Amino acid sequence: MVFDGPIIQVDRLERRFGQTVALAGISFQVAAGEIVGLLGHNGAGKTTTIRLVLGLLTPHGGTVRVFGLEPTVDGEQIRQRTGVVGESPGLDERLTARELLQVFADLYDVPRVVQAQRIAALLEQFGLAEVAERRVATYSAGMRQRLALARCLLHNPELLLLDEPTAALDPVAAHHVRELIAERRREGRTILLATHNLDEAERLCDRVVILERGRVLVEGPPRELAAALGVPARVTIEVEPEQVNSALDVLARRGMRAQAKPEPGRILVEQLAKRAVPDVVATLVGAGIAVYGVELRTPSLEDVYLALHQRTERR
Amino acid sequence: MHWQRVRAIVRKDLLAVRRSRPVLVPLIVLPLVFFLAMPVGFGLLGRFLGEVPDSELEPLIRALPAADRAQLERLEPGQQIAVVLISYQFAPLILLVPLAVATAIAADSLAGERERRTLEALLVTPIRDEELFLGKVLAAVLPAVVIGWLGSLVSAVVGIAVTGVGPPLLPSPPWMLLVGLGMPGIALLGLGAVVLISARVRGFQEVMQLSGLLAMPLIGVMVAQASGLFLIDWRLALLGCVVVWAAAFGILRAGRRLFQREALLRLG
Repeated sequence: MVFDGPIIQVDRLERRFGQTVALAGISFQVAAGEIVGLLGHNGAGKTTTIRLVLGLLTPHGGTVRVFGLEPTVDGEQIRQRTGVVGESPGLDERLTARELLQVFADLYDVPRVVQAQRIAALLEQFGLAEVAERRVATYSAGMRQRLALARCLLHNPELLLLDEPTAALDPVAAHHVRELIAERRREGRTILLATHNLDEAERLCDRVVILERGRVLVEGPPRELAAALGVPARVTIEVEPEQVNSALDVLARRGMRAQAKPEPGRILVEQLAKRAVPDVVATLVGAGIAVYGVELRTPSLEDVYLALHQRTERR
Repeated sequence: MHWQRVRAIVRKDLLAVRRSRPVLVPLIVLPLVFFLAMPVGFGLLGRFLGEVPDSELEPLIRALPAADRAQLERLEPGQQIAVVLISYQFAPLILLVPLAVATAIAADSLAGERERRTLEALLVTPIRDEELFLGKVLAAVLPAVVIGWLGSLVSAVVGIAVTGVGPPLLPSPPWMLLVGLGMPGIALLGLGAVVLISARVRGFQEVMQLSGLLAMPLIGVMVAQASGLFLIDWRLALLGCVVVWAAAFGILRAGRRLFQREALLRLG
């Protein structure tokens, strides 16, 4: 029977560790073919959520359904259809890449007749074919993470759970891993990506769920979150360098928060709605200020995140 | 039970052990000491002490079972010493080998796996808790028993060659019981203890140190024999094996109950 509901359905999920509340009733869904980012600081509840989805932990309240199944009952079936890359790659450094993939192919019940071919293909695809007979101990952090990704694809899973897959990598290695994740997305796999890298989430995810202290702060497509939450754009206006102070006075009289940027002649205006930009430019020009350019930067996920964080801190 | 998964765990753990010096050293050194150096040493000692006065040998021989005593008295004094030492007095010590092998592999495979942060990668696969447990048990116990049995065979052959004495004095019935029945039992007991210790202690070294306490009863038996308190005959050897198996069974059952994904994850 083909399951056509959400791949992951989390409903008022709760989990405590002693007195510490790790999850305080979170709800979200992940649809088939979607890549959803689970965002939050360390301790926000991302890893706990992933462990509950896999059936490694028992919920203390609420429900999780994965492929319509309950992880605590059907964990084996769920894990058979899911590939996981944890916070740490979790590779036994004493084994070679090929040995390690052979072991995990057996653990994922990959038929022996196709194992060698599939392992060779993955090693090739992840750029590890030439070092396949070398022990993992000799690998760089980037190579290890690529091997962990290759391992999680051995059984051709429908769902990928990636927990901070680029956290310990240098920028080049992280970029490579992100490309590999993007490829999996193009293959149509469903991905839940736990990260605190906002840039990564913005680039890769269709939707993000922002967690803080075990609660969902907000969820939605990264580009729409700013508008939905009223996070304003940042506007940089370039004027004649000698007129920067006059321009700041004009803007202050209009009640706008503006400041001179380090570069000569550039002013940053905060909390400015996009539709107000023509009016501001007209006011400056009307006051005799020479305006040479306007640069409008739509709020990034980072801006959204910071705005949300400030709001929760104020509460 | 998916045997492909169980075999994968055994293969992985044994591959890793072969490449781990802290685990491999006791696996090589102890069999050399107990299965080679000990019979050769005691055999040669018997030759050098061949002229020991009867008064010094007598307490040792007197402690032997009556049936064995008659046969032993027909041997040269040097041979008598070698047989008493190899087949009786130091016989319980050969159990140290499977015990040490099983605990070293199990400590690496359980506490070591957590220490290296590789355990969660196994827990996120479809493997069931019982399959993972069985894989870990077999990975530790099979090499321990194989090394113990092969080493004992070598030890018996070397002992016979050096002393010129054969069965039923060398190897003796209690020695054979300890090898055949005691070795698998003590390996399982050591493994069970490591499972329990690993549930409370994090590191490989800590687990190794604590599980080393299991050797104390064996050393105690040897000391008791040396002091003339008793000498193991086949009945005592059989009783010892039954006790070890019962303890192993109990401790493994308790270990299996602790071996749950969530508990393993909490410790990791």
